[in-house]
Amino acid sequence: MKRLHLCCLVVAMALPLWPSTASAQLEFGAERPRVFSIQRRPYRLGHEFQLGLGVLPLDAFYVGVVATAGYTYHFSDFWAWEIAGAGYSLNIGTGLKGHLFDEYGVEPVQGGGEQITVMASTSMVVKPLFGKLAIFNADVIYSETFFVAGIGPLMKGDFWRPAINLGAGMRFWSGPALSWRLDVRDYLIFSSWVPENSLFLLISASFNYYNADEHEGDTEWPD
Amino acid sequence: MARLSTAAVCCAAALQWVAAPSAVFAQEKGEAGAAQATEAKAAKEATEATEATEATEATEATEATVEAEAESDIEVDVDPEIFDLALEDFYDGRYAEAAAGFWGYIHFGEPAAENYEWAQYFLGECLRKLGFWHAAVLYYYTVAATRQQPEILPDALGRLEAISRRRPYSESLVLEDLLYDSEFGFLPDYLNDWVQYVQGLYDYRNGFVDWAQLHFAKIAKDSPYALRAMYVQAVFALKNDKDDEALAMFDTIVDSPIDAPDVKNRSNLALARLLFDTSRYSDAFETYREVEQIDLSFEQAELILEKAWAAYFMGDRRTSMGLLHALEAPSYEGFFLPDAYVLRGLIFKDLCHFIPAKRVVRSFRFRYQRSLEMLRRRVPMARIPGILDAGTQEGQVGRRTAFLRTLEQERRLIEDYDSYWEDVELDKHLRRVYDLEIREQSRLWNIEFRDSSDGAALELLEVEEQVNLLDYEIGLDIFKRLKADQARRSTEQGLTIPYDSANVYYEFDEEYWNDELHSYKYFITSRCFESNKGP
Repeated sequence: MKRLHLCCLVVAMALPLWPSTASAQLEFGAERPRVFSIQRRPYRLGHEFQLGLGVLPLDAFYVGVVATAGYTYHFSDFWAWEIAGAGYSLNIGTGLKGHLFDEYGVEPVQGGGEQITVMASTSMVVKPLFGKLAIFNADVIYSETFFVAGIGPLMKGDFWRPAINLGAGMRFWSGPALSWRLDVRDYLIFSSWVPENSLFLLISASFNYYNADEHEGDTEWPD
Repeated sequence: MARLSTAAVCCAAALQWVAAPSAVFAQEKGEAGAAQATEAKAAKEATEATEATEATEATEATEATVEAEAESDIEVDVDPEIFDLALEDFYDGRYAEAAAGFWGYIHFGEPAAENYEWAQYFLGECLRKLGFWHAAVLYYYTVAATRQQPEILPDALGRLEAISRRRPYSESLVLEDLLYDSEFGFLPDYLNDWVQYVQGLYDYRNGFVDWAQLHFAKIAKDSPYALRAMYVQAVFALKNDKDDEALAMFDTIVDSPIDAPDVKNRSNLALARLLFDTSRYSDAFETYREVEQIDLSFEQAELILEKAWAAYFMGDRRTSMGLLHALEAPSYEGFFLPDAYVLRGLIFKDLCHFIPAKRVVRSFRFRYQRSLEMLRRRVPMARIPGILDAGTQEGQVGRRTAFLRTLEQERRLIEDYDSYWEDVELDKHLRRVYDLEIREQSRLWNIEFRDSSDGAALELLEVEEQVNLLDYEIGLDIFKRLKADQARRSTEQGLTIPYDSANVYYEFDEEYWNDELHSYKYFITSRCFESNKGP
């Protein structure tokens, strides 16, 4: 009995939805029309040179302030290869090491005191999301969201360590040649079989050189 | 038979359409003065122009009398220091106080006073800064018309020239009364170009073509007014059926390196309409894309509709329907564009979507039935919903409507400064000035509205006829018999959306973005059986 009531309730709730669907089908048959605004991408990337400033915030013993540079080649509007990315970290101690020593007479062991100084990587980039944002209903800015996955060595302490990086980022264009990126990457550093985790936040300026002839051979533009 | 009737609807639509650009040309011609759609219209306009001139002269005479009366109300000795104090207020940014000072100097002083014209000019400046544009124009006009202090003339004319480009203003006062028949002697180049252009324009309007050309020849070649003069000549060529000559001139304007976006835009529009009228739809569509209009304005809506027609005649129904889809944006809802229904209905019918086509017919009736009934009952045009808007949304009457609105806004603004001005009665004086101008502009508006509303009503009746015909055609098509061997669906390319493309596909999600209005594509499959009428 309870179940019957529940069924009636569901049917009653679904009823208001039914006529619109039915009339839509009646109106256009099986295939509903779809409306797209098809626009040429306002900004396209070719050769991207990147300069940025980042931070390694996770290690309790130091905070790394990282100056980075990179070069990315964009195969298309979806795929790109960050051929080379490198960074040098200027590390600022948090005082924890001294505090531990002073208070408890202990020092970090098993690599705990090692600091990342140099980072290098090469990564694949996919850019599935592209969109525009309205600012104060007065202007529109264009943005894309991308995902990266790459490998590369890091100098941690006195040794180069292999690392994998995974991350995502957003780009905001201020013109065809200049855009601003916010990257969030996680480095898995293999000092042993169990990787250590290091988060890397980066803000960078990207300078783009886009050669239309190189990329737009047979492109069909929307009318 | 069905096809024949379809063609008839298309022809009717096309004919109606041809009339529409002509009407718009007429507006342009009205502006250029030399290319009215018909001689009758020209004669009518000339009559109105005479009436308007007479009326304006009468108004000015009345204004002058009012001013004279006002000035003769009280006769007191005016301390010349008032001018200096008002000037100090002006440079300190206290424009209301400064206006009171300058007005006191003018109102209570003698016209022969040393700084009388300067006081008039600065009063104009104060009023402009306070937002009384029409009153400011009156004082700049007075300074420029009397020319007792020639050194102020370029400044006053410069202000008038700038206002003429940016705001609604009394065209009869500035262009006809001040500039047309006047000799100003030496003027800076840009003002000289403006004066020569206006004098040439009015000579064209009055049929003195040789004199007009003499004026236009005196305009510097690199001046934006040189392009405007060429535009006038192009429209004149159009009027005289010299389409090729007009086309060449419009092309020259568009390709000119001179920075004159306004006239280039108008030329692009005229060019596109000319190409459309000569059935060069692809070229017309390309040219329409060069035209820029203010976002969400009536002109933009009109442009979108014209593009939709061009796309339709090109056979690109997706683009045409996409543009019509843009016209459904709420901002365009109030505009009078009845033939958008005809086009939408035609496309649905062409694609054998008969129920949507019928719904278009129904929506047209739902939207305009009341107006049509009122038209048949001969209700005054200004009381018919839609016709009032339709009659005032473009052309001379549109400009006058905008000017009237400005006048009313400015008149209301006087209240804000009552406390500053009541001692010298500047508020009273300004109210009188605005009341007179509003009365005169309303009189002219009524004359112009009579014509424009007639045009809108006629257009609505014509579209209704087309819609009725379309309705009948749809009915015939629904019950059209097919032979068995014809009963197959046409094969058409399905919609594929690439994931990696130089184009971005934003699917419409009940939200209109201004930057997308021109780029919608409406993907709909044809349901026709017997032909390849793919979209």
